[in-house]
Amino acid sequence: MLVVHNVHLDIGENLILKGISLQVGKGERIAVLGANGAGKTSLIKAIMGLLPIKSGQILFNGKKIHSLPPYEIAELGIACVPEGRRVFADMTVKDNLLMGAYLPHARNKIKETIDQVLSLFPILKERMNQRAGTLSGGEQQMLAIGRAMMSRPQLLIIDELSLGLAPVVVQEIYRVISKLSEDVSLLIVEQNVEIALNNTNFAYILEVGSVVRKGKSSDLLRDPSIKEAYLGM
Amino acid sequence: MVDLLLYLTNGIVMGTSYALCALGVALVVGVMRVINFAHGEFYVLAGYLSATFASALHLGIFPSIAMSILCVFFVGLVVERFLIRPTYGNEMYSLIITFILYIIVENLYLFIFGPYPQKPPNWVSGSQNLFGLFYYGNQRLVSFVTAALLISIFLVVLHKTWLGRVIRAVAIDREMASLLGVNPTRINFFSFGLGCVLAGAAGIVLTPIFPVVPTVGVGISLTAFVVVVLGGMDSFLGAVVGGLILGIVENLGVAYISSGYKHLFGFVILILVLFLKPTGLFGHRQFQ
Ligand SMILES: Nc1ncnc2c1ncn2[C@@H]1O[C@H](COP(=O)(O)OP(=O)(O)O)[C@@H](O)[C@H]1O
Ligand SMILES: [Mg+2]
Repeated sequence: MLVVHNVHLDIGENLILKGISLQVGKGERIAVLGANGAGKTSLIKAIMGLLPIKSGQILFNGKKIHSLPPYEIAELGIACVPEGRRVFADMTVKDNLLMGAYLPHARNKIKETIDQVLSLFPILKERMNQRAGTLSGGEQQMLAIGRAMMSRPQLLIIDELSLGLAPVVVQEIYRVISKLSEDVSLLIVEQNVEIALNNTNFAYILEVGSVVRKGKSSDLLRDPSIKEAYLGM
Repeated sequence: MVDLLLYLTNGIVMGTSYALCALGVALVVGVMRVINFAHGEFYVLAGYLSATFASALHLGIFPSIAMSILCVFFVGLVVERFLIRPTYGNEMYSLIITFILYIIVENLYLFIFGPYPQKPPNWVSGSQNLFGLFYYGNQRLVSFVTAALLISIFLVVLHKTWLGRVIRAVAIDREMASLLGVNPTRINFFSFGLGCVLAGAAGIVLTPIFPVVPTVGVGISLTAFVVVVLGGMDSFLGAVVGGLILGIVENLGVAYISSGYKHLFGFVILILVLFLKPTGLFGHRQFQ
């Protein structure tokens, strides 16, 4: 469904991505792991059309998307929870969710989708008329995911799902995500390697702009070198 | 006491139009981060057009108004498309371009409409006894009610409709809005046109009371900028409250201190507020 093929990306003089390839198939849950500065966010920005790539290809359902603007990529069915959640702080929780359903195909099914999202994150129901900026970090992450789900995406990308959140909150969000329908493929960027591997089928590990390891999440989880390098065991 | 009430009334009536005009600046600054130095020229345009349509084409008052507003919207869209859009991403360029536009347009007005004041017809005539204390022109009252109504409509649209929600979202975080499928360039285009319409609407309600001359535009722009900074650059409510405060302060200042310093009073209040609260009364963000 999503194919990233040999993507190179520079920012100024810096080579940020040096030939990255990865794939997300229908219904798959994929993790992209790596330390701070590895290039994970840049990769997501390239997929979403926020950063131009220098060479390579990005395909979604067979269509080249690497020269499209973000709003056209969104229209094709990719939703993104960017690093830092980026909820519209001055708007209510309800308006944030509605903004997620901006695209015409989503706007037609708003009632249905909002009920689904609120049943996934019931806490948001109590907060509907509150300003999003007044929510806790965990609630904002739930709102950002809910907002992305409002567009009824085929592919949901979440950058730094667990960053800055309490462990119980992270558990809760992963529990909800695991309940998402098979119709939604997932690409999750994490620094928290263990929880990511526990909740995905396949993972890519990035180091300074290149994929240095990839494999089934369950295999990586058992791999002694991974344990040593990333899990501190 | 009667005098004070009269000046207050004048202040509120003027301030409401200031607020209407300033909402246009708040919209364009909020969505596009562009300061339109020619904002007041759209006020002037609406004034001249509504006067001309009524006198030269013998249209009724309200058809003239409707046509003027449509023209202002269209001219605003053209300015956005051909003058502002090429400057995206560079606030300095858009400032210079709109400054040049202001100079050119002001001279065009002088050339086309001449130096003498022109005035669209009054919508109503006569006056009302207010509070049993003084007589007050009906046109002023009607202009005030119209401006207040337009402000309310704008705020309702902003908070209760898709259009308003999208405009607010783009103003808060345009990149995030684009990830949700919003084409920000289209919102810029429309917001600029709407911002010009708000200046034009202020012109429509005020020019029957204060006839228009080619040079009033720059004062209108400055007043609107003062109001927006006073209220807080990122707050629409701030523009409304800021407009009222400025209207009242100016009128009380003119009445009790000196009419020579009309514009100074606004600046004094502005500096006071910025000193105490750098983000403006209702603002959160500080603009650099
Ligand atoms: N705007 C930028 N200008 C220059 N370098 C940048 C910019 N954004 C990111 N980088 C660099 O790109 C590299 C990858 O960053 P990023 O994609 O944010 O990594 P990650 O999300 O894995 O932490 C880092 O070395 C970072 O310093
Ligand atoms: Mg990152």
